[in-house]
Amino acid sequence: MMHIYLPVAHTSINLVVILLIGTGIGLLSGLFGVGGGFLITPVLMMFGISPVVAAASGANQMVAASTSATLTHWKLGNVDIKMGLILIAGSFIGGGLGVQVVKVLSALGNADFVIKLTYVLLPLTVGGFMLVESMKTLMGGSKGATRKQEGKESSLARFLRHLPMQMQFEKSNVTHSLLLPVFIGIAVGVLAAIMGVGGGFIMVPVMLYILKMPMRVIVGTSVFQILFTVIEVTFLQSYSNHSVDFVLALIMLIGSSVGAYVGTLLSEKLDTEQLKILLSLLILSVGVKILVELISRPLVLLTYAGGK
Amino acid sequence: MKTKWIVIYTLAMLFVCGAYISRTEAALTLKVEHRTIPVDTFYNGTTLRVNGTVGNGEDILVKVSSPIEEESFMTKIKSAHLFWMNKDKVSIKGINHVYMLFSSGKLNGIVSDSNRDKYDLGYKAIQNHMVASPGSVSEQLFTEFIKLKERDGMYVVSDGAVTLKATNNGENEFGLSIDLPYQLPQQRYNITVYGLRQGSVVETASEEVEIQPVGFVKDISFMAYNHGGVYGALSVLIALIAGYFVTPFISLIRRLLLWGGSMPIKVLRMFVPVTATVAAGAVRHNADAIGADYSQTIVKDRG
Repeated sequence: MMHIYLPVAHTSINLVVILLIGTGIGLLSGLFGVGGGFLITPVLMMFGISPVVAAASGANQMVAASTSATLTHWKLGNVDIKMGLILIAGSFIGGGLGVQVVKVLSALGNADFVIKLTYVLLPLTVGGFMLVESMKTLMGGSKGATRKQEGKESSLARFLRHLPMQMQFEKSNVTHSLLLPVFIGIAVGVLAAIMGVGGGFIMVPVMLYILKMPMRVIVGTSVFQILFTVIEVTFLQSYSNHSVDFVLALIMLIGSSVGAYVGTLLSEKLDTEQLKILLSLLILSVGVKILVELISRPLVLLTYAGGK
Repeated sequence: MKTKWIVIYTLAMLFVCGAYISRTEAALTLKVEHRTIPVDTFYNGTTLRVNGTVGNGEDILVKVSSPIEEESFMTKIKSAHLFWMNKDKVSIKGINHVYMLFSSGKLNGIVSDSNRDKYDLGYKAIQNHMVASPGSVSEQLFTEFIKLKERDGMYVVSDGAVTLKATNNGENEFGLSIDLPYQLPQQRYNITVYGLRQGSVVETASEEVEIQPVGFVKDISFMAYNHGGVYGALSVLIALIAGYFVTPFISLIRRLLLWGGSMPIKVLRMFVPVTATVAAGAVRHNADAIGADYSQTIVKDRG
C-alpha cells in the first residue's frame, strides 16, 4: 500500500486513505450541500493528524473549492459584492483573532481541547436543530408553531433595525446596519481559524434568517466571503503556526472533486428531507464521537506540550 | 638467575594475557545496515538491520537512543468532573526522546543493577536520572511517561529480540531488525552494542545513524518552518490556480462526453467521475440544494 509522508504533519498516511477522506467529504458536500470543511478536521484527527494541522490544511483545501464555486456564482450574478466585502472585512478581523487564539492555546497546550470542544458544541447544536426541524417537517408539525409568528416582528428584528449605520444592499434588496455583517464576519472568521471551516454552514442560515437576503444571492455571497476567509486563515496559519500541510490539502482536493461530482449525481435521486435527516445524524455523530473522547478517561494521562 | 626466570615468566604471562584480552576486546563488532535513513515522499518508517560478532558466552544488548535532552509535557486531569483536558505543564530533564533496548535474553537476568545504572540500560535506569520541574518524578508521572513514549513507538524494551548464532571460530554472530516508526524525530541516533558476561559489560561498540528528510519533503518542510509567509502565499496561490481551472476542465470533459459517441469516449465516460468535476458543478448544485432547502423552510415558516 502506498504511503505518503506529510512534510508538515510529520505523519505517514496511506495515499488511498487521504483520497478516500477527500472523496467522502466531497460526496457529502455534493449530497448535502455543505462545504465539507466542517467534517474534514474531525475526520483527519481520526487518522492521527493533529487538530491544528488538520484545521489549517482543511482551510487550504477549501481555498481551491471555494475559488471554483465563487467563479461559478460570479458568472451567474449571484454575488452581493457590497455585503460580501463587509463580511470579508469582519472575517479578516475574526480570522486574525482566531489564529492568535490557536497560537495562545497551542502554547498553553489546550488547542487540542478547545478545537475538540468546538466540534462538540457546534455539531450538537446545528445537527440537533436540523434534525428537529426535519422531523417536524416530515411529521407536518411546524405549521402551528410558525403561524404564531405571522405578522409579528421579532425582538431580534426590532433590535437589528435600531442599530446605527444602517445601509442599503441593492443586490440583496435589504437594509441593515453595517455593524451586523461585520460582527457576523468576525464570528465566522474566528470559527474558520479554530475549526478549519469556511463557515458556510453558519453563514447560510444567518444570511437567510437574520440578514433576510434572497436565497439566490446567499450561496454566491457566502462562498465569495468564505474564499477570502480561508485564504487569510491559510496564510496566517502558515505564517504564525507553521501548520498548513500543503501536500495533504492538495491530495484531499483531488478526492473531494471526485466525491462532489458523485454526490451531486446521487443527490438528484434522493428526497431533500431525507437528506437533511441523514446530514443531521452525520453531524450529530461527529459531535457525539468527539464528546465521548473528551469525557472518556484517556489511555495516557500525559501529552506532549505544544499542541502538536 | 632465579630472578631472571621470574621476570621472563612474568613478561610471557603478560604477553599471553594481553593477547587474550586484546582478542576478546576485538571480538565485538557492529555493522549497521544504513548510516543515513532518508525521509522521502513515500517514507513510512523503516526496518534497520544491525548485526556483528561477539565473544563466545557473552550476552548482547543493543541500545538505540537520541541525545539526552529536556522535554515538556502536559498532564491531563478531569475538569469540572466532566472533560479530560490538559492541565499542568511539566518539564523533564535527563531523558532521551527516543530509547530502544533490545537484548539477547531477559534483561534482568543478563545485567547487574550497578551496570544497568552505569550504562543506562532499561527503564529503571532512565527513571534514576530523570528530573521533573516543577515537582519530582512520581511513580505515576514515570508510568504515564513510559506509556506515552511506548504508544508513539519512541520507547521500546524488548527481551530476546537479539538472535545469537555460533560461528566456526568460537565467536557468536548476533543479529537484530529494528522497526523505526515514521514518528521518530528526524535527528541523529546512537546505536550501542554491549557485550555482557556474568552481568557485567565487558565490551561495547557503537555507530551513529541519522534520520533526515530529503528531496521534496526536506524542501517543503524547510520552507514551511523557515519561510512561513512564502509557504503560505504559495499554498494559497496553487490552491487558487487549481480552483480556477477546475470549472473549465469540467466543461471540457462534459463537451467531450456530449460530443463523443465513439468507443474511446465511452471508455472515457467510465472514468470521467474520477478525473472531472470538482466543486463547480457540485457547488452549483449545492447552491440549488441549499436554496431549495431553505426556501422550503421559509415557505413553511411563512405558512
